[in-house]
Amino acid sequence: MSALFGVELRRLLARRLFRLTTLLVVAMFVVGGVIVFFASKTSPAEFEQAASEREAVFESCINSQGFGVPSEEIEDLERFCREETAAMSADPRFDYGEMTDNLTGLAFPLLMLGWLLGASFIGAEWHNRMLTMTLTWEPRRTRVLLAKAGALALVVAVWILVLEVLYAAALYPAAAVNGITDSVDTAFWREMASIALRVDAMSVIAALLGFSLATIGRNTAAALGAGFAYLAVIEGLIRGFKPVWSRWLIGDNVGLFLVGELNTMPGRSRADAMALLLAYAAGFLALAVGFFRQREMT
Amino acid sequence: MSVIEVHGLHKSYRRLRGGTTVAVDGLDLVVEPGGVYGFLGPNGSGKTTTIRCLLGLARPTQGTCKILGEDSWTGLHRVIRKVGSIVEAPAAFPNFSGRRNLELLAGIYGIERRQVDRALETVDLGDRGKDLAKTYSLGMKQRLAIAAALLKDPELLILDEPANGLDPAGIREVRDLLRRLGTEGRTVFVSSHILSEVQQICDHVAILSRGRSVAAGPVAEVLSRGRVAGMLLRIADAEQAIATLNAAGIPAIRHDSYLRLEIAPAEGARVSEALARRGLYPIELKADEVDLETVFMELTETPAGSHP
Repeated sequence: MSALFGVELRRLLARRLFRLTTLLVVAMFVVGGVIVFFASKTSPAEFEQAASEREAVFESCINSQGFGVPSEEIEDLERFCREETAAMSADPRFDYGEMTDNLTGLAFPLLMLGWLLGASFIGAEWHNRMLTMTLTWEPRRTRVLLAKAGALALVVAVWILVLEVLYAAALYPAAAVNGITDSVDTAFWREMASIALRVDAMSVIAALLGFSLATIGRNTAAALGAGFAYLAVIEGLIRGFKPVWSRWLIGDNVGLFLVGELNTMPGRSRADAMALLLAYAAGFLALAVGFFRQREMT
Repeated sequence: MSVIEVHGLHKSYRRLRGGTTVAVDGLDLVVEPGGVYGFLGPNGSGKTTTIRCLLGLARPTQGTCKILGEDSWTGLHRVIRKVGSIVEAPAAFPNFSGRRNLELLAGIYGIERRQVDRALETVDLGDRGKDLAKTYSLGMKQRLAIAAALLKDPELLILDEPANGLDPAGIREVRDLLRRLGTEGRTVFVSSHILSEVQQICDHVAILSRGRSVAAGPVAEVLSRGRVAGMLLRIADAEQAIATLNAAGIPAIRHDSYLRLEIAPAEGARVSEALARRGLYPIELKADEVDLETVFMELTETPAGSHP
């Protein structure tokens, strides 16, 4: 089993899609970092004006004890006002404190990457008849599929985490040299790590769902098509006509897990959402294994 | 112990619009260790389906398939290390090199890299091993598949049409390779439609028609099945020769531009002697040899109107 797992790891890492996508995404991060770096650069006059505006907003915040926000909702008034100042002032410089929102915003593309990698990983094998070839080397189908799924989960977990780190690293120089890093402290990094891990976990689940659907549909397009139809049509219809069911939707639960709370699902916790999504992933994987065990190979 | 045992194998598929297609219909087959075993049959006769059942890729509807004593559907993993195979068209990852394709397979059993090199050399792909598989011709892909089958240093090779896509030189190389593998103590089970090749390399043969075995056994035995040994005679005065030979107790009938004599080739001297006594001299006298193609056509030919 471990040899099979190792082979699948090597194959996944050697895939052209994986390498090209990595290159492309990293290139986009670098280009984005360069653009933000120069966009964050301000003239002395702009800087002076922005600084005085910020100072005024900050003082106003402190003086009003947080713009009227109930004091029990403010843990640290100075930190709260710094964040409010960043949000309200017209400072053109890049504030690294916004990275928590940026990283959360990056979740959807990263989830799609996971989905694509998972679906194409097994889809390519169906297409090239390499599953048949593999079964003439290891006929225990459950092992074969679980080794692939395990390798996929590990690679996606590490891959997405590395991409998130690179994303954060690509934008840091812009903030450090030309922007604002005032809110970068231990609490900030803890929050960043927490978001990164949540996005990572969701990407792994997306990859396993894509993998399972492509196994059942026997090609990549089946999984991508099913995913698109589900997210764009089915979830939309359910939210529109049966909102009470939305607590069972993948999209809503992913959203809840990432941001912590959703109006549509009062009382449901992140842990509940994660447990449901894990159950979906495990269910689809079990279905894929069952299908693959019975499937006649051509 | 037989290396392959197939008993009462039935395999049918449901059609989308109802009904079933019977691919294999009660096949029995036993392959003993060593040598090359030819598995012949026209397209659609069930050869590939049988091979798929043998390799656990398809589940028999009825009957059993065993390889090296293990049931193909439930126990194949215990012996698969000793079985190399090709099923239908050669499979490879197109964006990986030939070598990488083999290395990934080799990794499943921790087969050393030098064995990958050796397998590539064996099929004459040593120089092209680093090229992407998608740049290979069909013949090269076929050779890559043969290399993959040889990687495990198998006791039993199951090869489905291994000469497909190969040029004449390639076919000859594969023929020599299979012959050599068969004499090394391995068992080579090869399906093919190139009958002359099978006749040259196989020790045993089974002929399949409509999912059933219509003949099986040593090649010479299958060739002579249902046939009376005979000789062919070409002579100037055919009428007088027929009369002379019949009088000598040698039945003779016209057969194209020859006379066919119902006499074993070993008794050819009797023919010459009878004719010479009457002053008749043959232009040509030879054994009436039956080739596999003739037997194959006779055994697998479908009588008119018997199609389903």
